[in-house]
Amino acid sequence: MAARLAAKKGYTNIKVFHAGTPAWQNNGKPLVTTYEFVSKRLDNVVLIDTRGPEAAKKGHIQGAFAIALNRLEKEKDAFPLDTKVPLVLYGDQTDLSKIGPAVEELSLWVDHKMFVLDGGYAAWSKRGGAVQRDKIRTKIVYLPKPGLGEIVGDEFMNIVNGQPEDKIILDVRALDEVSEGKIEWAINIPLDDLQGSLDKLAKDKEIIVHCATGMRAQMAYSALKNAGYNSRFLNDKIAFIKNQPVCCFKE
Amino acid sequence: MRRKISMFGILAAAATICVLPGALAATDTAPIVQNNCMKCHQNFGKMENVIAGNMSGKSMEANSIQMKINNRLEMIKFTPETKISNVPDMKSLKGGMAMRVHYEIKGSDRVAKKIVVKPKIKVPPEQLINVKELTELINMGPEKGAYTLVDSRPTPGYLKGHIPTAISIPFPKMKQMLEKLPEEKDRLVIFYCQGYR
Repeated sequence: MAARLAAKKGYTNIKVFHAGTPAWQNNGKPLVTTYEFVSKRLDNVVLIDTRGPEAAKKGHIQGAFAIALNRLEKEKDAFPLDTKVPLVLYGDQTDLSKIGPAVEELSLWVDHKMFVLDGGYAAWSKRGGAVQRDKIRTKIVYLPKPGLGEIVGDEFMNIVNGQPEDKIILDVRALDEVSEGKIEWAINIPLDDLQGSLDKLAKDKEIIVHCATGMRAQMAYSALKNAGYNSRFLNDKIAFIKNQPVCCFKE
Repeated sequence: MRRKISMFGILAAAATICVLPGALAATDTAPIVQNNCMKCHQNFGKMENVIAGNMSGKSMEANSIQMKINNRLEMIKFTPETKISNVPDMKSLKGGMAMRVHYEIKGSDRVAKKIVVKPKIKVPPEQLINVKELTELINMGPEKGAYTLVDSRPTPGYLKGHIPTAISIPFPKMKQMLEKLPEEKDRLVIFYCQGYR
């Protein structure tokens, strides 16, 4: 579309990179991200200061992990399991010629989308972005933040095992799926039947919904919320070995 | 775009206490369109029983798709009779795909009659450039490589992450931003966006 408009305006040497940004990243190449994006999402990205711990002591972006480029691959096992978390790498400047090849190497090992921060630390601090000198961390620790209505896997498993009295586990999978394994004390109401079965659920308890992937659980969560129930849902894949849930892996 | 709130809509909202999310305001026939889509497809705003935007999820078990439109979740059921265009079948629908769903209301559900996936734009083969060729140019840089790389996506996409050396000219604003294109009409200009899926 843009190419056609440019041709109309007289441009004669037009090309289109039709596969676009997803193909670029799928080829292990980083996209360039910006201060505007990262500064609003410091809690939801993993920042890596590729200058290493020594440089980080003089100042680094708040929450960044100081891992020099040549150490990155050794740390790959510490990367978050949730591959939806973007990894943002930065150096002094944009430093694409240094960080780019390291990202390509790393992309053979990890599935995260990788970004390089435009202008690096220099541009970040110049724009007044949050920085710190202490708390140098060289090991990645990432605690996933639940989205709206979500419950994280660890808490879900604690509830499954602890069976607290103020919670109900609601399994909205179909009956044939349930027959292959279920959480023993869960209530099973297939999503399609939920509407007519709301009276089976106590309004004074928190209803923790799960399905097999999180999709139907989210729909049930919306329905329960709309009906005035207190609810959260597990937005993860969950499998069963006999009646023992194996949780959680992201799609 | 503001959705019309009819008396009917209010009644429907009040009735949601005991219905499934798919039934939310199921009597409301005003189009539900992601704000971004309206920049190019103003006609969507005049259609009835249409939901347009990106699919956020699909459950083959529950025969339904979910779309997140302007931060609200919309649920639409599908059936074997649901027509689908530009992809072979329901299984080919993937999260994030842009689409327009024409639905009818059956009982308390929205049921998709037709799902129109945003078609892949056809590009003449001689205009295509691949990752390898683009990488070679980018390694040279815009000056030495004598190119201008243009990101046609809306600004938030550019800010989240763009291909190195790209400038931002969102397509909906392109006519007002032509001065950002190079002066020399024979210079290599490369466009990209979110790509086909």
